[in-house]
Amino acid sequence: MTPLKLQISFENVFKKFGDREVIRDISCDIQHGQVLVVAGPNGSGKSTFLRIAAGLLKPDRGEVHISLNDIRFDPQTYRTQLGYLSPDLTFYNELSAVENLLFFSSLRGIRMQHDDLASILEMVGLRGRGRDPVSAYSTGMVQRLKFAFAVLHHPPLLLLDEPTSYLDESGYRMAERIVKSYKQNGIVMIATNDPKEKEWGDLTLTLG
Amino acid sequence: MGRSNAYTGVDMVAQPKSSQQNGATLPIIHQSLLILRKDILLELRNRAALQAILLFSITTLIVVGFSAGGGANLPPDTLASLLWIILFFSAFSGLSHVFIKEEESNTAIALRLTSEANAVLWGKLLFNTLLTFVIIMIISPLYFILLNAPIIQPGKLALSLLTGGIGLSVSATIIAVIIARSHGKPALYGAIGFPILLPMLFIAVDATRLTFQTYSNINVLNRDILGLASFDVLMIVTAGLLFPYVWESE
Repeated sequence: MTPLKLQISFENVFKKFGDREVIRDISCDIQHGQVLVVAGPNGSGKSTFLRIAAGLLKPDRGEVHISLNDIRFDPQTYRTQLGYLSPDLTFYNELSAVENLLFFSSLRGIRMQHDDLASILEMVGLRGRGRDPVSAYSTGMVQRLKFAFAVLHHPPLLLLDEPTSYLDESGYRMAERIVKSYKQNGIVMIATNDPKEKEWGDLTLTLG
Repeated sequence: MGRSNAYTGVDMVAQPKSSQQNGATLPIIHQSLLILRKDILLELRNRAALQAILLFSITTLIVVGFSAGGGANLPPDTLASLLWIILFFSAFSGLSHVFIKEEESNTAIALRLTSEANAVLWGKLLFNTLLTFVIIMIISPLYFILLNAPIIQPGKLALSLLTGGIGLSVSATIIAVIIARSHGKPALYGAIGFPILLPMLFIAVDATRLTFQTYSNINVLNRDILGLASFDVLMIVTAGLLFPYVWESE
């Protein structure tokens, strides 16, 4: 089996909202096996940068390329293959965690079995709570569910915006394990101001 | 709309043996049906759209029926107009919900990350069309009973309601996504929808009127139904072309 080699490159990426320039001509390359930490003060564009990498926003200027074994994709094309977690990501409150995960994995073409779901929920610390509606979850539990959503399809590119928000100590350790695991087999990008999360990075991009 | 994806079949981290991960995009029709199924499940659990629609439509129906004195001596054009007024406002009170709720609750982000834009459109469109047909099937019989409306040509009446209903649901769907993605006020929904739907409503009222008459011009009726069907095709094509841009807009 051909080993996977992932690379993501940003070339003079520029983004503004109205008159406010949020991302100003950022260029960087992240190689396979690296964790990029995107840091900066509030409003400096960390989340915007990750959304551009995820293909949820388009830059006003510049280009973003994702290269997988030398085959190039733009983020919009690759979007369904990457893993993404952010504060504004939400799920269907009327559905249970299992129903949400089954729905989104089915959309990605992944057939999840009971054991797979149990395994994912156990990994993120939601064992035994999979059948509860998301409306009954605490914010910390929702954050754990976001991790399950981000990794259930084993993406080579993982984008995490404030990953340990609302997490307790065990949740923090879970997040750290996931970052270290996924770093070995792809790329992880983290937008954060948390000093402990910053230590996970191999590279740091400071905005603002 | 094919895309290459070199990720197919690559084992990244240890996976449970029973999972199947192909990395390839699920066909749009399958994604659409999954989204339809999800929306039906959500609607059965919270009944938000259905309750809004039924509350409006049944209340209006009863008030109209009572005011019209059981429909006695109402001319066919009045009967037809009243029916389509009730159907139009009933549909518009609930069909926007399908997109506005996704944006307001931010679940649109997860949808954008996991599905093709056109799959979202067709899934939502199928849901809204189904909801419209449910409304028509509940409201129309009650209307005919309450107002003593004569059904002279039931086949053509059913056809006008069907084609008109599709026109309503497609238009409502594309307008809903425009309002939702532009974070516009829901009040604009009716303001934008009304001029778009006005031509269709004129034709639908005319076709329905003719089905209430014993001696109606069959050519005019057929023309009206064809006009409704043409409007449906036009709106479906417009939705298909416009939706990906609106869905991906910032």
